[in-house]
Amino acid sequence: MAQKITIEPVTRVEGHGKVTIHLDDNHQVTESRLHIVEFRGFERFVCGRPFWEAPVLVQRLCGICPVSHHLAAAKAMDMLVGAGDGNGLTPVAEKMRRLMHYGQIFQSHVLHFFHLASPDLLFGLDADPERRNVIGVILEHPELAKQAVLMRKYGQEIIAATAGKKIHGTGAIPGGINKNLSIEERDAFLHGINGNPDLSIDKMIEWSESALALLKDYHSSHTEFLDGFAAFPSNHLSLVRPDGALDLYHGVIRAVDAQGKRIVNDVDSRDYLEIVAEEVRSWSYMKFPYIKELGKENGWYRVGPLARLNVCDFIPTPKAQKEFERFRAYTQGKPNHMSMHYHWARLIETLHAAEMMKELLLDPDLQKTDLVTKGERCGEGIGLLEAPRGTLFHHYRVNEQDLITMCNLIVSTTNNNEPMNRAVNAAAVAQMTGKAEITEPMMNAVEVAIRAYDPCLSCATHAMGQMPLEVTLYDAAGAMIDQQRKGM
Amino acid sequence: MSSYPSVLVYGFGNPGREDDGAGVALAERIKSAALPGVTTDTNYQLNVEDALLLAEHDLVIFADATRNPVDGFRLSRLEPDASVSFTTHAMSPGSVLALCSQLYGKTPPVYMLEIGGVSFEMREGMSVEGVENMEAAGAFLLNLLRERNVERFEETVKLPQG
Repeated sequence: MAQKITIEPVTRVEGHGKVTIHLDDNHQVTESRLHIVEFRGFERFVCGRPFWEAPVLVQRLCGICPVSHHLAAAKAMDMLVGAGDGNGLTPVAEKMRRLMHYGQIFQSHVLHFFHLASPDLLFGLDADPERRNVIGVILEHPELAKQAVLMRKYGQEIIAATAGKKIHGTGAIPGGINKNLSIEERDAFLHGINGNPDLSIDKMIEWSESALALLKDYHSSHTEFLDGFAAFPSNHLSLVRPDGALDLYHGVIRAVDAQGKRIVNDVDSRDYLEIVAEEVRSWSYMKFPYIKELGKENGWYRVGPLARLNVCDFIPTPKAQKEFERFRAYTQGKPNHMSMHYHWARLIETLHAAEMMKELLLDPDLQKTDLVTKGERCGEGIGLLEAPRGTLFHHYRVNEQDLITMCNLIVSTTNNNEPMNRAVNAAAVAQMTGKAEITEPMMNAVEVAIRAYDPCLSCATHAMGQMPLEVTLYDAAGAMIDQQRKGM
Repeated sequence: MSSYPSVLVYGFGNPGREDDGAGVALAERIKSAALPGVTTDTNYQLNVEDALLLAEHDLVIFADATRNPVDGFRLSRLEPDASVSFTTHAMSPGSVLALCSQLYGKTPPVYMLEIGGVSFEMREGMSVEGVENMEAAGAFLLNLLRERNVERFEETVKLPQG
């Protein structure tokens, strides 16, 4: 009799997820699904509000990545107030926003690697769950843990200095920013916050390199696991700078197929609706985006660090560029389809973010005072950026009374919906084939596959809170034969 | 009786989710009182870097909204959550305290001030009941802080509250 397994909750990600795994009569996995079981309708909530509120309003979406939503909404508002499409701001405005964004990327990637991924990598999937967590990492690698805390703090302080405050930041406004960076703030970030040399930008770069070295060491001794676990070919999509450079704040839309062939060729981000569509499936509230031209079946794609390094031609900072060359050489210049290599790509981006922050901090434009650009008001605004987890789309229309009449958001985690489902299936096939009950290592294998994508289901479901996971196993007749839960 | 030179009141939650912002509102209320030796901080949620913040203070009060049945508000002593499993991008208060203890060898007295909330939808502003509870909790905490006596916190958690 065929069977179905459900895993719920997915630990160390947000929202509420459920994994179901179906087995056939021979206990072979036939299908696996990651279900998202909550939806709050944020787009409808925004309608009717004045457009200038949007950069602050959208931060209600998520306590994990509010800066990404703040900046994407502000970029859309730039269009509305006639301040161009990512190219019309004053130098100080654009560079302050970039500093905010790279601070966000930095702290988010650090959190993911040290506190969500490293327990799995340092202790292995089969380790006792009581040990396989960040406390276990602290006990065995205290210096690493202390570095991670200070790196997180550094990123958070960059955000506070550029966004104005930690909660409901107001730094980015339609057409610009509301503050520049003072000399005192700049010097603190360059030489050490509160005089602490461990909170200086050079230390952030040094520790980013150390984290990358740690990952590469792990890779050399666990090559089969990192290369083979939940690996599958896919398309990859991200923004790139028009010259092909990695650019996380602004760019054109580019996508490559599994062989590296360009399938979306540097399209203006304002034309995203001509490129991307979303499919609704009855069993999940999270939609399934795809490239229109390729259709639902073949048009799905990955986003995020792995996709970005597969799509761009180079990284415009020297240390990260060297690491990028090694990364690309590993797959002979072809796209890298290994889910666990998200961790590698994420750490290269961490180093890039640190280098970018230094470059920006040394730029005297940050102390200029022409903060806002004004132009001719129009009725529609579109803002895209590369958030920590991937491409983020914000799209608004407003009426003559300045009220929002339409809002469309495609968040990073939604873009990765199909890849996450495939990763879950790959892990299930490897771990659960021939099994009729769920063990702890099986649960964790499924979670590890999902965690590689660093999903933020708070955003994807537009709900806040923990991300409990339930895994249930069903037979061919639909009868539940096992169920395990975590975090509920 | 002992004095304490450094107190942190840390409110967390999302003010864009009605009563979920009660902890943040309370921290702002305390900040406006400008008590000597008392600093405040706020954020959407707690995370690893807050362990360092705890290590830098002699007494910490976390303030957060709760759906739990409390009589307006409730103050309780927080213990390190050593058996923590880090299930999300955020951390629980007990996890942060455990992290502080493990990383920096410090376990300052930490208290949790839970404020009763009734509505958590995506709207700015708190419910009438949420505001009442937050104001009562704020007045309660201000009185305690003005006494500048750590032991009073410990005595208070053993008494009926609200």
